[in-house]
Amino acid sequence: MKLSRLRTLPLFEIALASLVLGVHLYASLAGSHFLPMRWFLRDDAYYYFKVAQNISQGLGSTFDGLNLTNGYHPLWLLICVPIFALARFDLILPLRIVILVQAALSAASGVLLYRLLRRSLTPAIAVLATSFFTLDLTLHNTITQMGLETGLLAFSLILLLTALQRYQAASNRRSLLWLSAAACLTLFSRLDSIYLVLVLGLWLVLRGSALPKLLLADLFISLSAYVLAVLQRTSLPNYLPVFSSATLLAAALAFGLQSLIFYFLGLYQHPKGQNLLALTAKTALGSVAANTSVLALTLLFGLEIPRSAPLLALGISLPLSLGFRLGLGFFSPWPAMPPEEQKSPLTELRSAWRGWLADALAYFGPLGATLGGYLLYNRLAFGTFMPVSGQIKRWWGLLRHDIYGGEAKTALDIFGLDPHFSAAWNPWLKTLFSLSESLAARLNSLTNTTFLWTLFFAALLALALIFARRKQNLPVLARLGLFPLLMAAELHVFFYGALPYGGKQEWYWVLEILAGLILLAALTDFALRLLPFPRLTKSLAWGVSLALSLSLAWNFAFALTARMPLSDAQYAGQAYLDMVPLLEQNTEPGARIGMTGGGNVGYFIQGRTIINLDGLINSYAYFQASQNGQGAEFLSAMGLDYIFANPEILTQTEPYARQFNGHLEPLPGAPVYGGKQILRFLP
Amino acid sequence: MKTPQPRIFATISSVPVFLFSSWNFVRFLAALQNWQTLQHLGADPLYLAASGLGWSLTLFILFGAQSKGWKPAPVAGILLSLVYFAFYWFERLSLQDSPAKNLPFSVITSISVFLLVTALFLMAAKEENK
Repeated sequence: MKLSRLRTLPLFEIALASLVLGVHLYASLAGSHFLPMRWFLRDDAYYYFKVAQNISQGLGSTFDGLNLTNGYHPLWLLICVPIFALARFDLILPLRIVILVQAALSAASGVLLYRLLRRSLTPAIAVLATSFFTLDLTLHNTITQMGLETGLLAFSLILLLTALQRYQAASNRRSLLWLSAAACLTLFSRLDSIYLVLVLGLWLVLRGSALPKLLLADLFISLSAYVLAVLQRTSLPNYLPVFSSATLLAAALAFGLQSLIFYFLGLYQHPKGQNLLALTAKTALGSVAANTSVLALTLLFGLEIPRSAPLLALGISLPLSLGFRLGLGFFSPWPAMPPEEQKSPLTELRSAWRGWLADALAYFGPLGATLGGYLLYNRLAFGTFMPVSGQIKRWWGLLRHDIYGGEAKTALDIFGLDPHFSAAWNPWLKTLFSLSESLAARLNSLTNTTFLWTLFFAALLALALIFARRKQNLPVLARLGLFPLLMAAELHVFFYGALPYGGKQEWYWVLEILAGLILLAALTDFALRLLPFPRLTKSLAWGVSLALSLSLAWNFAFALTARMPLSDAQYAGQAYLDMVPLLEQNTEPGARIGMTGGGNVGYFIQGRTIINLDGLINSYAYFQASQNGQGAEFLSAMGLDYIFANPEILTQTEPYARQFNGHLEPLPGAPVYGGKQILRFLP
Repeated sequence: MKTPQPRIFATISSVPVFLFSSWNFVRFLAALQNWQTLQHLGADPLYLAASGLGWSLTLFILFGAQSKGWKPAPVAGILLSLVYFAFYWFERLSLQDSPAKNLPFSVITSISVFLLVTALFLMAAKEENK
């Protein structure tokens, strides 16, 4: 074989994968105590581990061995089952293997992300973005280290984007089926990926025209307009428990009606070249008709939103819908379609519906079948269609004074843009917020106002960078799937904020991390291409990219290897968790102990049963009992002996106060650990 | 000239080669850096440095051969992985003072990695012979 036929090996990918795998292999060999003490620190990961262990031992999908639960994302649990079958031999052994599995996912994600970016962006930018995504310690902690579904989700998301890129290049049914398979993988990696999966489906089925862009923009505008309108008439503490569901229903109605009207008025055809007056008149007509219909329906059916909300929403959505169309028409680099080639909406529908239907079946068919099967299985096995953890968190969002917090705090927080409260876009917004803080100090203005202005100017700068070379840049954004990606990410954030939801965590936002990173990489690339002296710019970009990537690699390798030493001799003879001997010494073997979390204790404790009290990894029946204030009776019927928790949390905060007041008695002489006490449970 | 063919298995099999080459280079550097401490603890720093450097260079040469598309590289890779596997267990069983607690993990991981790497080299050999 001639050497000339061989492609050079991809050195960056090999180096990246070697580094990630090597460092994790080292971490996996660390002294046993360091795995629970320094690596798997979140209780939620142990929910997976314990359930997987129980499944492998034939106990069924249960955390405590007593109650069946579905409070997890299914694919990661499925991966954990064979790994935690080894827990019968040694509790630490599966944890070591999880580190390696997460390392393989992280390395694969890095390589795929690099390939995805390299096809569209300058290689130096692709190297830097990939290094940051894989090696930055904060992202590593959120995505890879915790032992949650996030590593699998990151891999699935990048695989989905890669499949999208391939489909956009090939556009055949086979690649669409692959895309559907990748979408299934993403959905079952984390069920709230449904927004991305749906948005992407819409994007693909209706591709080749302005329709999906306009439709998605209209959807987001309608939702935002209704939420802002109702907020204007009420207040956030009232909106969430009382008005949120009806508001989103009204927004969905308005969007549905408006879309139909807009379609037949020709407003989903590309606005480029359309008569300005006609466009304005049609948009106004469609918006007024849709929103007044919602007003009529509100009055007719007593929908629980302020009556003025549809009119206020109209005032917000009309300029936005019109503005988006005008912007799209104005900035489009492509020539307007000649009038003789333009089809009427009805003709377009007649000629396109078969293709749309076939593509929709190819993409949504497998997804619908697997999702339907999953929901049905849940109903049959657990008595509820949806995972119980999500339902409980929705309930927490409705409670006042709940201990878990997490529901939206401000209007801006609903959109994930409040620098004080929102975590979703925080990795990308915190730099802007720091900048606005220093500007606010100099200008003697309010930080929040300055932040909004900074955000506005940053958005303008981003648009300027995109449209400076729009003919070259817009296809790059399309290849990277950035419009549906960003839209899905914002809808994902929005639905968490606009509906009551308690106990949100930082690892929910992998989609936003990825979308923000790809956008930032693309913008940096566009900025570089505007600079003079392309060869010098390229060399400088490589220099900066390599220097920063090496610094990230150095930091990554040294921080993780230092965190996970090979010898844990100093902990010889000690328990993996301090709480475990404390409970074992103060309760009798066979005792049933309730804990508000209890994941890691449940995994490590011997001869006792830990029962999860927050309900996230408990049964649907327990959730129903808790909602009815009958949680203590439920626990009493299953023979709970003790509760190990902070008594103040149990007696003074929701959702516990309504359950446990009058059911607790301190255990004399039992030590206090981090505010937690062993309390005897009184039936 | 024909379009260069992608070398998926050569690429994937080169990851563990590069990884173990780097790892042994770190072992070499760490032995040099901690020479006196190792002597104080009764370990032989010369052995650790020499074996680290030896493996690092050998595997780096193998990596270079793989990247250049040298035909016998996959076979050499299989032989070297067998030797490395034996070397790992020789060190673990005869040189380490007390076997660490993670024995089952080491058994599972080393056998899995050995089998995986061998399979990858076999696939790479097949790929390069196409």
